[in-house]
Amino acid sequence: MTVTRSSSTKSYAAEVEERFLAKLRREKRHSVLRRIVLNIAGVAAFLALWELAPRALPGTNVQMFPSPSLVLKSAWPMIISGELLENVAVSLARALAGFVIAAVIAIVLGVVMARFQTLCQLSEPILHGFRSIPVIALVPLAVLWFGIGETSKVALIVCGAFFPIWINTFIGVRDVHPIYLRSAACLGAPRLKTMLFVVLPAALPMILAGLRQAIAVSLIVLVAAELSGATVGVAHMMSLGYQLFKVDVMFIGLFVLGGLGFLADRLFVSLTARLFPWYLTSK
Amino acid sequence: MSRLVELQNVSQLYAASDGKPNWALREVSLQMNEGEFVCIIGPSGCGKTTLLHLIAGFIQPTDGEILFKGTPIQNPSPRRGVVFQEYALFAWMTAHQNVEFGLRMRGVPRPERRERARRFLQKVGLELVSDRYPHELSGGMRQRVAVARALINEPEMLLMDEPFAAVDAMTRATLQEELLRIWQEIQLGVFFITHNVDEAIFLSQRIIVMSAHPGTIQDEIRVDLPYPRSRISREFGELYTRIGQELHR
Repeated sequence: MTVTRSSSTKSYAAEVEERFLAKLRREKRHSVLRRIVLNIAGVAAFLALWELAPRALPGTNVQMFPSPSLVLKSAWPMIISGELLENVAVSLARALAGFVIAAVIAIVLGVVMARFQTLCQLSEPILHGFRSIPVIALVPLAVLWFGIGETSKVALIVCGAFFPIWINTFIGVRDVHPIYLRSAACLGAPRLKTMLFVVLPAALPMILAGLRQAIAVSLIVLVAAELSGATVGVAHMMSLGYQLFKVDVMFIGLFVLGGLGFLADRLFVSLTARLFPWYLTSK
Repeated sequence: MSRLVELQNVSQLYAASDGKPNWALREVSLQMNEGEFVCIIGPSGCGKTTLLHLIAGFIQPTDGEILFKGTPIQNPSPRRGVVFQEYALFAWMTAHQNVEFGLRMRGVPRPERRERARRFLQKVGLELVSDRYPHELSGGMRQRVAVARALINEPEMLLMDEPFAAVDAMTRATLQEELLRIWQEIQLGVFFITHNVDEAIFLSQRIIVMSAHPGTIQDEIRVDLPYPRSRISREFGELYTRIGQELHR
């Protein structure tokens, strides 16, 4: 048998590499495009079905079950006048403020409790007790204490978003693999730096899971808080629609809330991939 | 040559799941000199890793004393670098960031840190993959990074816990040769745990054979063969047979 060496000239290798990379780029573009197209097609099919269903089923009350085109028709003037945008902006600001405050408190407390046993054992009965109270049950109390202003809404969102972040951070930090801590110790890392550079990143997957859950909880509590009394906001708009028997307005709210939740989650995932490149790809 | 590590009648107990005390190590005495390469070999459960954790300072002995250059070991220290079996690299740091970790912890300024990390990555032949994350490296490369990460602190000894157990045979042979080269170049003490007789004879100046239940030192064997050692020499074969017999006694 003879082995013939391929002509390993530079131009040949460069050409193969270029072809390979071009193919890779093409495939990646294709898969991104495919996903977008299918996502949109799914939404379109859902809306089309919804649009057609009331027409196909005789006796459907379009007042009670408005079709997407009807919802859009009543939404259009609200979009033009900026009314819808204002409601969305106010609601988003509330949810974001509550979420951020909750995240800061919960992560700090979660880390501290997982590292200091005394503190943990002192506070765990209280915290776990509070954790089992549904936040919705606090809505009337919050209105009594803080009125129907921003404070009560943000406070409620903080309460709701706090627990998933806190418990996940706590477990993540508590269960950091000892080999990481030992590595840090024998490389001369002091306590605080070990915390910052080793414990927090090692617990990050759990912390991120808690944050993602808290995004969803924030939106739920937001709606409950706004329904209980507000002068502006997406859920307030829906509650007005209810009082004026404008079901189409209530549906606008549903669309907005669904869209917001979806976008917030997507944003979170892409931010995670960008900030922590080692995390998603190493799984 | 002066004494690097000294263990005097060290015992380590732990509570088994039924609550009864169990001897991981029983009255172990051991000396190691500066710049010496010592291999610990023995069946699983003989307390090899416990011994390493004691010298590293991760745990304190139940009884007895452990001295490092004459002073008792109380804490882990960058003067005693540790290379674990695997999965000890920080997954969220690139190879370069892993290597410079020790310097960063001591507040060495960034330009100096970069330069020194680059030099140590070069020493283990990894300058080209310094920006990769651990999950993008092969098992052999990961262990090279782990060695560089420990060496950058300029430790007086390296504690290695079956560092090459998880890599394939060919890579393992290369890593052994590289380790010997680095050891001869830097002249630091190496405390190397293995369950591989061949590896122990190829690497070390002295082999400590341990037995289990309770963990004790069974025998100490000097290996006076010159480096680099040939695995097919007669002396190598004789040592291999002897240690094999001791382990199966």
